[in-house]
Amino acid sequence: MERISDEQLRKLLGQFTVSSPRNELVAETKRLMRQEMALQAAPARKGQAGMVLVMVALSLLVCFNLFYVATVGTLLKLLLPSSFEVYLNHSMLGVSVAAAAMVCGMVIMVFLKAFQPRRALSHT
Amino acid sequence: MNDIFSERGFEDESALILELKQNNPEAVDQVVDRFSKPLFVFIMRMVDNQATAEDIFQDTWVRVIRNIGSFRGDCRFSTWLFQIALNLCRNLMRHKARRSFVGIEEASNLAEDPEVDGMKIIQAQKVRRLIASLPPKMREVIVLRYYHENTDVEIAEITGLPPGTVKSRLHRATELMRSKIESTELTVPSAEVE
Repeated sequence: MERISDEQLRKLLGQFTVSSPRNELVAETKRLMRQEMALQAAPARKGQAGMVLVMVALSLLVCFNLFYVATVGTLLKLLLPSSFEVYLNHSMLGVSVAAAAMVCGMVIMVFLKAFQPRRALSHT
Repeated sequence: MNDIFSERGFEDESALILELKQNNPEAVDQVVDRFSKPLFVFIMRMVDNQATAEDIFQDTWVRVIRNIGSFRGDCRFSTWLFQIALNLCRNLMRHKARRSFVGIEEASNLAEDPEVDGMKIIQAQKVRRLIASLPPKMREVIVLRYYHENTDVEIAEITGLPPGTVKSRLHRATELMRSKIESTELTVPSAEVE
């Protein structure tokens, strides 16, 4: 038998044609891709929100300390004898801890407030 | 040439990929419209089952979105896309027994329709069976070469094989196909130019 040439092989294989994907399949695929895209973007947004939260918390801490230094700290420095200065300096640390506790409390409150309605809804 | 990217605002393929990386939903439409047909045709020829091909088609595109960040542009986007699809096809062929393809009965029914050239359909079914009967590794190179006109280097990139291996595998696959054709009732078209 005569050897089948490459051209003949190509022609022969060309007889098996496949139709394009269904329009519904393409549309559904696009929808799935957009959904996946949104999921991919979500952690980035979450990360950005976390950064904002940290920045807000830090600025609140700084504000608390500045407020303390400018008001109570200045008054105490004027009224108390110089031997108390070391305690006054240490009190800054106490104020920072207190401010941090307040910020944490606020964050927890906001977090619980945000989740409360959803939990309540899920019980109904 | 009316390029789809420039038509709709994207200068070239790399701009479209960048948009995809930046999670632009509009880029989804464009990239799917551009590559869906060759991709689906490739998967269909590899798995030879409509439902399975549709599943792999969707899975491929979802993986594209998931991994677009890791696409560095070392190869063409279509090469990378076909790599993903081929890996999925390989996984499927490894784990699942290949499902049967459309039987010759379907072709016979169609052949009764006077509007349709029955002989052509039966011939197409035989070619389909011939492709499906090839071992998966050989089918890969045959489909990529004869249906998608890929070069040895491109086939090597898609399959992850060295170009030398692609060449030898292609040669063995072609020889196997020739012997299968000679042993079947397939009508070989004449080589003359029409």
